[in-house]
Amino acid sequence: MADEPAWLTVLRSLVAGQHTPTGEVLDAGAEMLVFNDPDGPAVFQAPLARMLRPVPEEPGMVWIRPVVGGYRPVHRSSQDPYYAFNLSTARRRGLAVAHGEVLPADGDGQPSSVRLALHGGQTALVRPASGEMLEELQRWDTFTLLVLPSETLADLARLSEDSWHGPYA
Amino acid sequence: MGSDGKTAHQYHTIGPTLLDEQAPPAVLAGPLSPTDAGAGGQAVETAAAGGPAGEPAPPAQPAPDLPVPSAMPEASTATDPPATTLSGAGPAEFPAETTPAGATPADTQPADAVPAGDEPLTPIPEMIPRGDPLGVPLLVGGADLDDSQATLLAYDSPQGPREVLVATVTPDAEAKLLDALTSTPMIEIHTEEQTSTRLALDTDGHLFEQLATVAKSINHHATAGDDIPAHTYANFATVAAQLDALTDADTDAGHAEMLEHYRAHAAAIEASLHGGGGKVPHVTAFEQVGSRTVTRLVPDPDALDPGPTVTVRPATRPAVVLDSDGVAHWNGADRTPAEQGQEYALDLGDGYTAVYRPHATTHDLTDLPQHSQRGRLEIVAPPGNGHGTDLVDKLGDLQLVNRTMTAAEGEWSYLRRQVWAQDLDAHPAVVQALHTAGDLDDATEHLLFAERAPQAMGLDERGLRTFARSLRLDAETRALPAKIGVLRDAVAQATGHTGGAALAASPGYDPHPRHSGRGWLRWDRFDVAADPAAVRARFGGRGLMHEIGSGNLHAIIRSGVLASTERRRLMGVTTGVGLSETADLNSGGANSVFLRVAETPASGPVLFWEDPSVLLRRADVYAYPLDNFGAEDRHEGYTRSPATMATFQHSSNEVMIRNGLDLLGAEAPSMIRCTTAAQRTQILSLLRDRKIEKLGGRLVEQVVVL
Repeated sequence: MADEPAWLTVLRSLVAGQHTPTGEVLDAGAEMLVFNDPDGPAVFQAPLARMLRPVPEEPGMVWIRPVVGGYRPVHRSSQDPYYAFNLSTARRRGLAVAHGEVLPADGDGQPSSVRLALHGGQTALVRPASGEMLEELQRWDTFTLLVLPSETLADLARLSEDSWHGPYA
Repeated sequence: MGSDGKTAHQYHTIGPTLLDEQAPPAVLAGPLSPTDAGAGGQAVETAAAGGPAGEPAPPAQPAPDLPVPSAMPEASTATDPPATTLSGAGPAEFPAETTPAGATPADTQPADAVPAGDEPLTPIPEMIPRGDPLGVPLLVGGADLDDSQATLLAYDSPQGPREVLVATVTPDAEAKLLDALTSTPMIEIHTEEQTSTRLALDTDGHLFEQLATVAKSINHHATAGDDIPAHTYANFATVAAQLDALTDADTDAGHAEMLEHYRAHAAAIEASLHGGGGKVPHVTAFEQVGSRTVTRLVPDPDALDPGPTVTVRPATRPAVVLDSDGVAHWNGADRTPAEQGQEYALDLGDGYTAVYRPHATTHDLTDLPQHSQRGRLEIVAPPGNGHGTDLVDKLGDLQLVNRTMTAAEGEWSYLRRQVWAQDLDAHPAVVQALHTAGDLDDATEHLLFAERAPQAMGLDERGLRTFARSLRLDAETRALPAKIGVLRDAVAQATGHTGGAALAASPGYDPHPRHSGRGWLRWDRFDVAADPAAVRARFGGRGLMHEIGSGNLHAIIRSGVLASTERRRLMGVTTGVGLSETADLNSGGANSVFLRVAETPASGPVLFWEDPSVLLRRADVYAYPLDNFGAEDRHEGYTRSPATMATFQHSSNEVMIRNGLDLLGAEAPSMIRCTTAAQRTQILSLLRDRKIEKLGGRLVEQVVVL
């Protein structure tokens, strides 16, 4: 990690929630917006799960897991979660970064963000999660940390799957 | 065309036969076999080929009593043709001229019987296998359904089988369907519903939330391997004290039960906090079960029946459950909310119901379902079996073609699929041909109207609609032979063939669909089918890979298929739903399985195809060189070309294949890499039990590896 680019270090910190104002990393996290046109509207927006895997042999390639696929189960028993995620839908995604830059923290105490120019022409902005995005990330944390077995969470954190099979898939 | 031993030639007879509706069938019609693996196709050699565009072709040459071999001997020997270079001339990506003899692998031959002319390509089964999660694929006539495909399923239920027809209506056909719908008078009914609610003492005091927050923190830091923060201890002390105080002060019986529930969770948390930070079990909220009266709007059962009646409601999915024995259960009624949007709920009469989720908003349906659900039609039969024919017939109530596809129509769909797969949409000849095809439909409709106009006299509005629909459907059917000739010629021109006849006689041209797994059908693209070695050569040592997430490789192999998310939902495998497409408009992703162009994997669990042509011969494949976020159709890098896919460099490349893959038949992977010796033993045992000794021509012991 010592030789990794600055944008990757900041990305890692954002995803982990190190910018938390409370001392508890679970109170903070990252969200990602993707733009086809840097001046246009976001075509994708989602919080990012607390996992990240750079590919050493492919510089600029980073696997992440956008938090999507949340739903409120119906016909649930008292043992079922109020909110769950479809693990096939919340699949790993690849960021093929051509160029990354760290956007400095602003004067209001807003932590740093990263802007990533992706191969293929899209631009990704990863910044501290807030509002609905942070709430969804916290529902993901609740689901993965309380509902899923530890082994499943470890499998998710490997960020290596192309499809998921089993419960919640 | 002589008998030169090329297995691909056995299907060329279909072209000229299809063009003449009056021609006697060359071979007996029959259902396609459950899998094409190893099946030899019956062949009839002819010298005839299609005539010029728009002209009827000469009748089929073979006499009805011509002997038909049950299998082509060369099919079992032509499995590994030498690689050839791709530097051929002509616009076709993999020109037929490079085809070595016998290039078609034996395990991709179609089923024994080859339907022809008016015979159904896929007869409706008398019995749909009960509980089979994949169902029976069916080709429906016309072009109203996506790929002209429907699936008949018979879910198991206590009331007997619940038979369902599932299909996707094309955007072009949607107007006909919506025109068939009639608004229904609604009445209010009052029903009792069970409710589960948290107590005010809990929600006001945030007892559950506090405990869950502490538990999450413990589990997170235990996973991360760092110390539990001091504030987590403090938070726990706060909620524990709150629980103690409430226990001392409150004597309400309901509250006592709740407090006991939460004290048990607190004890587990405390044990983890002070016992080394082990994982805290799932913290659940305490809920009180009650009931409430709700008012719902339902169709008025006493209203006159003017046709299919319709209501608009939030989108749903059938609540299908797959049990551990692989049996799919659904009672025909229970549904789960879908991710977004609305749907039409239809009463088709006689106990038949339907659900339709449109492509576009209408005056009464304003919130669209997610992309992968748009156009999805489900028709549900009354309890019991034997409704397959009626389910297809009910398509007619929705003004859709309601008969199985004939062999002649199959060629039209095949050619349309070639246009899509080989990116011929914009070729001037193809554009003109499709325009001409539409004109042929219109012209034929006018002719039919002139013939039948007297029949319309005295009909009421509904009768007139039915009359107009039958005119259109009959016109489309009658114009089909000419349309096929026009389009075949255009495709031939666009791909560098000298004409439609030459294309039909070329290696790889095969308008018969093949089973892929048990639940769906597909066509091959003729350029790849003609010369799979060329695709292999393009990829060099790389292949196609699919990594399995949860490591449940055995369960996937047991199912026999690698199915898309939407297919898995139909199968009852996927119980959850997801909001992905509200955030990511990558339309169609849920209808495909994802693979990646990659080197041979060194670790599992993973499926790997070292010969990409096994899968890329399919005419329903598209790909991106790297991940695209929020990508709509044809975003940057989108391709359907195997040659372009072979150049992919980023590990996040994606190759999407519609519906799914048949893992134990013609599309079997060349490598199933396990994670443990026990897993390998388990999978080999499973294959032995099914008497499967080889996959893709190799011994299973060589395919299933550690």
